[in-house]
Amino acid sequence: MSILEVRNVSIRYKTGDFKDIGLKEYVMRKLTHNYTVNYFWADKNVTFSLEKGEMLGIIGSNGAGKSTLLKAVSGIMEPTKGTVKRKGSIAALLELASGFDKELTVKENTYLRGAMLGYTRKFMDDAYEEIIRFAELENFQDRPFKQLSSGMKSRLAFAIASMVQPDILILDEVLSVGDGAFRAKSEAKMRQIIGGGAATILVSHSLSQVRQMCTKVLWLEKGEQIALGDTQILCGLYQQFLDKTITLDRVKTVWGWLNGHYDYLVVGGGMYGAAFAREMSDRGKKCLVIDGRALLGGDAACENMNGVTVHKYGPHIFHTDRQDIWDHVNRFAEFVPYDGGFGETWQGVPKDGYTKMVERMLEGIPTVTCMDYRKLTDAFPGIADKVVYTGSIDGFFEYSLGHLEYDSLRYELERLELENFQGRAIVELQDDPAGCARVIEYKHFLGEKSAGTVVAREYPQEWLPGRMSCRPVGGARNTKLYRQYLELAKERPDVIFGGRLGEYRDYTMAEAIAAARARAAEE
Amino acid sequence: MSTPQKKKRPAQGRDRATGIAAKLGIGRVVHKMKRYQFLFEELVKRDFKKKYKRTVLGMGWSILAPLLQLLVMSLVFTRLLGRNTPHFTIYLFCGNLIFTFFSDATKGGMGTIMGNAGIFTKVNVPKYLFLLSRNVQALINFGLILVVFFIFVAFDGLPFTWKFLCLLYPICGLILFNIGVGMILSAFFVFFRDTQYLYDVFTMLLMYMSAIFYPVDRFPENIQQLFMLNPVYLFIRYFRMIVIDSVVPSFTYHMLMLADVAIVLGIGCFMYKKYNTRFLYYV
Repeated sequence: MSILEVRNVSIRYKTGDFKDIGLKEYVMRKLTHNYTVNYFWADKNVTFSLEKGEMLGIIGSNGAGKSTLLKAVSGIMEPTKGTVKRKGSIAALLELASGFDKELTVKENTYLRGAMLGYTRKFMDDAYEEIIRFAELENFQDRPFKQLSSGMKSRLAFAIASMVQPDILILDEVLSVGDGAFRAKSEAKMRQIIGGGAATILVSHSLSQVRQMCTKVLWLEKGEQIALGDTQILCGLYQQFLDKTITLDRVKTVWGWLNGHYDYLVVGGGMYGAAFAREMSDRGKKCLVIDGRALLGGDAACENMNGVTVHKYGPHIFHTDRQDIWDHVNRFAEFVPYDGGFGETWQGVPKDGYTKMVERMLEGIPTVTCMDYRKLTDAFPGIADKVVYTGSIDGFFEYSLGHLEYDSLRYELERLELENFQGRAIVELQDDPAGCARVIEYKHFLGEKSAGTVVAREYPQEWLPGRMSCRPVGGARNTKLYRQYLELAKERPDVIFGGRLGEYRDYTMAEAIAAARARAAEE
Repeated sequence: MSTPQKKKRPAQGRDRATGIAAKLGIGRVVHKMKRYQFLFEELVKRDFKKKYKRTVLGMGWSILAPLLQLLVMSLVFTRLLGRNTPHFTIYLFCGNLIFTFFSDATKGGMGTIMGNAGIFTKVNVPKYLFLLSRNVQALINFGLILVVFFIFVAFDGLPFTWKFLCLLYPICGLILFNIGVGMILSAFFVFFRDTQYLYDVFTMLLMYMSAIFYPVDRFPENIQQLFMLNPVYLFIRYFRMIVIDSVVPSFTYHMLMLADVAIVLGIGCFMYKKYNTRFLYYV
């Protein structure tokens, strides 16, 4: 059995002004039937369990029910419904710095706190010196507690509490005490306790701390259990939630998706990935699409700035000679024709941008942005039978044989309070002293009417790992290296490498879509 | 806090009292007391330190305050009311001694839940520990004054007889009675802060009704009987009977005291049990 089992715990809290009303008011209200007590559920149906050596992080906004839950776990409160089963001793550190007696001295408080935590006198006699040393309060032992700074109080509280080797340790905002040096020390101490086999619950507002220390995460919001599971994934979602880039409903939906099982996990929401997922879904397969970026569309991703549709990673014009591909993409977007350029039958730019187009391509298909492939598969190793990987193939193998090389470009975006800057979408520069190759004024792609404009200056740059990868350079070295990676890929028959980066091939958007549809047909 | 509780099974041959005690949960309380002994000691220490902090005389006040009170009373009342009462100072002292213990323990006990909210909202400890520790403090004060009381008794030329041992009965009874009242008060105090003021008025009233500084025998017989309804008076009278009159009260008298103690303590325990998990919402 687990060391701690919390099953369907609901806690009803009483609120209202009943605390502050006196006897007279109470009697009056009772007589006039005006006495109302509000109940609210601080926690609703929370379920989790904890094993030895595990550390559970509880995250959630203020008022999520974290502290109340901890009170139930530590036995201070009794759950209104559900059960809490504990096996072994429990030490709870809730709101550390409070609960000391400000009139007593540091030493007296230390003993009192030790006694509250269930230590014996002998233990305290032995541990006292060490506690004071750890808290760095050697010179304050006989000072009244009220003279201590809040940092000192927290340090002492932590030092006392961390003396034990409990079976279950509960830490509520404990590790964020003191300065950097003390924090490092306290974290080391925590690790030691956890290493000793304790099951730990950590509530911290420091997400990075939760990421570093916790083996799993429970996310509460308004008493509701949003999710329980992998630390990295949930912290990532929580960060987005804090940044207000994702709603709670969306989080729940996404978490539900992540806990599903799929035929295909499509990594990358660019043209290839989207086309593949669309095709497979239409054939009745279950697909999950993830993308590391916030916006779908791969390098063609679009964002509205100042009323102008901006291609975030350089201008993209859709062009093809193939009727079927053109018809296909026109299912998802209305194209504004683009004159000149490629000399192909159909050329254009989707009226509301590529991101919207891809979103429509993926309609009805679970799609999660800002999701790292590795973190996902670490958390859910068996999430899909097959993976369609449209990231770089060398990246997939952690560059174990070296880096494949690409051209790279750099864009400097500028918003201008002008209606028009250069009169057309793309102006090529010759011999620009700053090295700028092209100037792109996005509004002209779609003929957008807006007061301001957005201009991007394009500079070629040396490609380095981590920089934007545009066209594969090719050449003998890269071709050979790519072949070596392909050999590695043979050992992963469950992974399909596709797209410009996955196949190390200079696809146009149309070609990528065509390749994806063809590949899907082979499946 | 969750180490498996070792339930001691009452040994086969033990008398029934142990069985009843176990049923009442006394065994569990004793077991818990053992587990929380260190905390209990520290709480007692804390209460002491806090009480005498920044006083020159420290614990001396515990003795001095009631003695000064006694002095005032005897100056005022000896002429007025006590002319015909033998050993009037001891008579006064008995009343004062008991009543001071009672009011000290119960008034102090009233705030123990509220005052320790910072602790029991963070650590799972039995809430009666706070009350008990406050009562220990009151008991020690009482003990000190009791010593002084006996000195007074000796000076007054009253004989110490074996009957003095009977005083253990009202002392133990009063300790339990104080705990019971303290439980009720501290629970009420959590819900209504008015309790404090109401209780101040009540104790004053009780003091006047406890025949501390006036003799009862002037009242008609039926009124004298009414005094018996006052538990505090029962304790005071017990002391006077033993110390001054050298008479052991009747069996019925003992039973009456026991009933008072049992009722008050019962109500107190019931309230603590009932509201144990609810105090949290009110502090």
